[in-house]
Amino acid sequence: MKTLGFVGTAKNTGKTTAALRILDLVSAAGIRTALTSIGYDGENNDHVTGLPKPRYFAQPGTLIATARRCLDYGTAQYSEQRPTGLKTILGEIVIASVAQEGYVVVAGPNRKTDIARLLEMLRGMGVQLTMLDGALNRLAPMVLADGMVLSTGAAMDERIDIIAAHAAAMESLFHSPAAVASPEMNATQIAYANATGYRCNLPISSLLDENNLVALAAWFRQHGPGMLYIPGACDPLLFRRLLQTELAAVPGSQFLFTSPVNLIASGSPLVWQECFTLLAQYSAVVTYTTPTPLCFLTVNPFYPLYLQKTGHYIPAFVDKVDLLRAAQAAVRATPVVDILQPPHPDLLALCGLAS
Amino acid sequence: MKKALDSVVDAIDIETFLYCKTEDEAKELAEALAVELNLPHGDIVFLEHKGWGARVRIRSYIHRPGDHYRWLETEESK
Amino acid sequence: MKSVLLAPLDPVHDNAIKLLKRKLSEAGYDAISMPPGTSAEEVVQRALVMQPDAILVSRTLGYKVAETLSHLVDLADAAGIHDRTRLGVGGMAITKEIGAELGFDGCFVGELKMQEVINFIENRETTSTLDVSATTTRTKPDITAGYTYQFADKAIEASLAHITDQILAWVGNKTTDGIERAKVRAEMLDCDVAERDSRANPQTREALLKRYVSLCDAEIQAFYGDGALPSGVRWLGQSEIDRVPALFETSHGEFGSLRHNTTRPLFFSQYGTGCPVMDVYHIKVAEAWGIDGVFHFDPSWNAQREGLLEGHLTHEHDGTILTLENLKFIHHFMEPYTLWNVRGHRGLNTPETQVLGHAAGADLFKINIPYGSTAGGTDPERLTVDGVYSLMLAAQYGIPFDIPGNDELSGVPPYKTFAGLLIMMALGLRLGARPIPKPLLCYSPYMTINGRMDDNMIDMNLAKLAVWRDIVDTPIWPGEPVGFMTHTPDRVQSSLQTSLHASLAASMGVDAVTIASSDEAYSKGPISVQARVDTLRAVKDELRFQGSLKATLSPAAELIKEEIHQKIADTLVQVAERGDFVNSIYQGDLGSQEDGLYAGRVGRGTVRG
Repeated sequence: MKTLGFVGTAKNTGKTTAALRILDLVSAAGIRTALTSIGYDGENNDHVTGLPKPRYFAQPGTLIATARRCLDYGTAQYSEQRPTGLKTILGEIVIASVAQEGYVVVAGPNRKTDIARLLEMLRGMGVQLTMLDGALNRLAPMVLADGMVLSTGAAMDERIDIIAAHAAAMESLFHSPAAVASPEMNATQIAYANATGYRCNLPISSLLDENNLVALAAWFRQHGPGMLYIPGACDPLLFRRLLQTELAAVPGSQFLFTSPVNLIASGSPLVWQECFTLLAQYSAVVTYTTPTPLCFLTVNPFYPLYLQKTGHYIPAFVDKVDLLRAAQAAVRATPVVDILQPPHPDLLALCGLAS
Repeated sequence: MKKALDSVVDAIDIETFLYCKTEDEAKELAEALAVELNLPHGDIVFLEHKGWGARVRIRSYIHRPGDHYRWLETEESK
Repeated sequence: MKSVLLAPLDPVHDNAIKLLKRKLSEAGYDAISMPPGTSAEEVVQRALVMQPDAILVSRTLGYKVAETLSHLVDLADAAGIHDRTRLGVGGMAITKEIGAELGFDGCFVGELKMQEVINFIENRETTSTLDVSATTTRTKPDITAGYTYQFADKAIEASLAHITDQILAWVGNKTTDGIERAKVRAEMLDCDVAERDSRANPQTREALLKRYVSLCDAEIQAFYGDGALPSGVRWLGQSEIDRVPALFETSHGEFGSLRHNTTRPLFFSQYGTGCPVMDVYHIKVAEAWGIDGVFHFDPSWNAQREGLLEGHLTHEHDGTILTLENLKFIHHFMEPYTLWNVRGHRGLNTPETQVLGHAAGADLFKINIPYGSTAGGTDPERLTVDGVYSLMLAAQYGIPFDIPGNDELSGVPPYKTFAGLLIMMALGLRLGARPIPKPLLCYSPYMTINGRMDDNMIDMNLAKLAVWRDIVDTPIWPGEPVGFMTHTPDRVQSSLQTSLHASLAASMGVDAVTIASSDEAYSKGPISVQARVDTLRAVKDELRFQGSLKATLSPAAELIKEEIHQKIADTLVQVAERGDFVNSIYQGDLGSQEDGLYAGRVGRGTVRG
């Protein structure tokens, strides 16, 4: 079974539109598909802006993993419901099979352990593809996906050059290769090891404060280049300072992270991009234990314009042609599409699915 | 298209404060206001004049008990 | 000890966090709070070190706040703490759907409910914190539970025993068309032919209906014979009936009560807009805003005709026509915990009303012979016979009955009204029913004429409630509604008076209170639904303000209480000595013409046997 994650850089960047397109394609291709979400998708109007949203429309045979109560909200009819024992804010998650096409509201598990259990169940049910919809700007649970579709657009920022630069920065984080941590390293500790056999660690998974930065800097200063493993979150501003202050030890070093999604979840991709560029200049290597591939990017010219005077949002758009061109120009190694501006390349093939 | 007015369960109350010098003037103004606002059969529920103005509540029943309520109708039934 | 990390994630405000910290600490949790302005990174860093069982975030949703909150969740995920630490969020404008979208495991909507928070931290089954109903499910209470009806005042008890003996002896085997109709109606129910569209047994229905109609007024006979509807009445269309369920099909959270930290009083309001559909809507709104129970009010002409109509009928004027179909339709939509009173205390259809109310699922009846046969307009002999039969039905059905003391509104002093309530209580108890007296808290003509409330409205009202405790162990239910004659069409003033009277009653530990809408004093149109909400909101806030404070009587109130008590005893002695309850009503023992009360005339000369 393949798991495809759909994530956005902000609300309303078009991830549901992208997912709907893929859902249409896989339905047409006869791929047995399950749909779930780490958030809450399928409502008519956005909870925050009140503006209309695209809704999930599912064909017969599609499996929906969602909170039981959400089955009542859409128009699709279901033939069977299988409890999962997974509890969320909206109640228990069930896996329901669509018997009659219609709109569905999808609110699945959002914790990694729960998502992993759900994916295992779906695998056991003979599902070929699970589509895992994201929510807002959340990416971290997507570490469980085999591939990701990333949506960005004017809802993140209304300046086309900023959207393009941001997209390019994110995309640039997805090209580093896979690596495994040393056997003595584990996912709850930041660890350092060098060629002389020196090893040390911190009893914390993430680099989020000054004190830990000081400790890491001391390792490099005292023991020179080595392999640094940060399995959890990592504040890119602190990481940049580490590189800047210990530049002498950077050449020949290897930096191992869990996944590019962990880095994006931790802070600005632009700062990460800057760090990666610096590392490349100084012949250091970045690797991931779980290098989630990025299948393609989508851009969306829509954004909710907030009217201060009335406190309401209205729909607004940047120039769609300029946006697509700018994003394609900035992002060189991964295809960029606007779902509503065909023609498109073979999107299923980009996702590693036979079309 | 569905009108918001159709969703008013029973009555609309307009509460406001009118600049006026007497209670009689307040009544006249309140009645005139109901007409200007196109409120059907506006009734002064409450009026309190003191000094140089009046608190007033004007009521208009959009649906009275026993009517056919437009909020109960579906699009097909209209 | 479980630990909780509390973070405002707000640049300035952390009141909710401070409150939570105090409450969680009191509940035995290790609650650590972070200051306003704390970033998501700082929260996660702290959580990595502290490894709390839960992180609770308080933040009002606003522009770009959703992204801030979801960044926290994402960072917690990336840092690997979300799998062992539960994340909860609460704050203005946060809903469960938004909480789900943001990736939180729990969401606290509305005012702080500690049990909900604790369940979440403990990861208990209800946990999801949304299905609060599991922890606070409201059940239908029995107002009379726990009361012994033992009399502390033995002299009053003796007088009442005497009066009760006399009434029952006088009633003997007397009957009326009202009682006979009730019997026919009960038979129709037994044979499953009581409804207009009953198809079960046409011959039986025809035969029983024929008997029923023979006991009715000409106007009611015209309805059954020619289908003639009284003025202002029309059939409710099937399409109207069919569309009502869709109004309420979306799910909703638990409707809270008006009470703050007490289990009593229960709050009741009346409905009776004229239209069953509008009634249903008004009831649902009242339930949503915290009502515990409702009364069915029928049109006043219903009380003055021999016989009731049938079918789904709507009516342009006050009071909803009492038919089995209307009652069942209205009852169908009530919340399971809502108490339902069908009043039938004052007219020619009193016995039949109990039969229909019981068949439709009523929880409470309302019967008061002295009031119904004076201010209610019904002949005293007739209502005494019908009333006793009705009390027997209440006993048979096991349904408590309340006794409104609204004759005070005509100018009767409280002690005379209360003497009447006590007679009804004693009569009900003798027949095996469970009574609930309803002393009225009001600014009645007696109070204004005699200056009994010139200084304040508290002493008299407290005395009127306290006197009951000195006489008998009974539930007390001030009504109907409280604050009667203090209200004006000013909705602020009217709501305030209702809430003050309601909270005063609550401070006396009463069992239930009937409240008005803020349209109480507006007489030119139906009660609006927003006017119902006005007083429910006002009462809720007044109860929050007051908490569990209990009132104590001032020396002046103690004196008034003693005065009322003594005069009740004297009045009952007078009625007992007269030895003729019906004549006591005519003679004004329980409210005279000087007080403003006249014996009713409707149904005079209709008692047989």
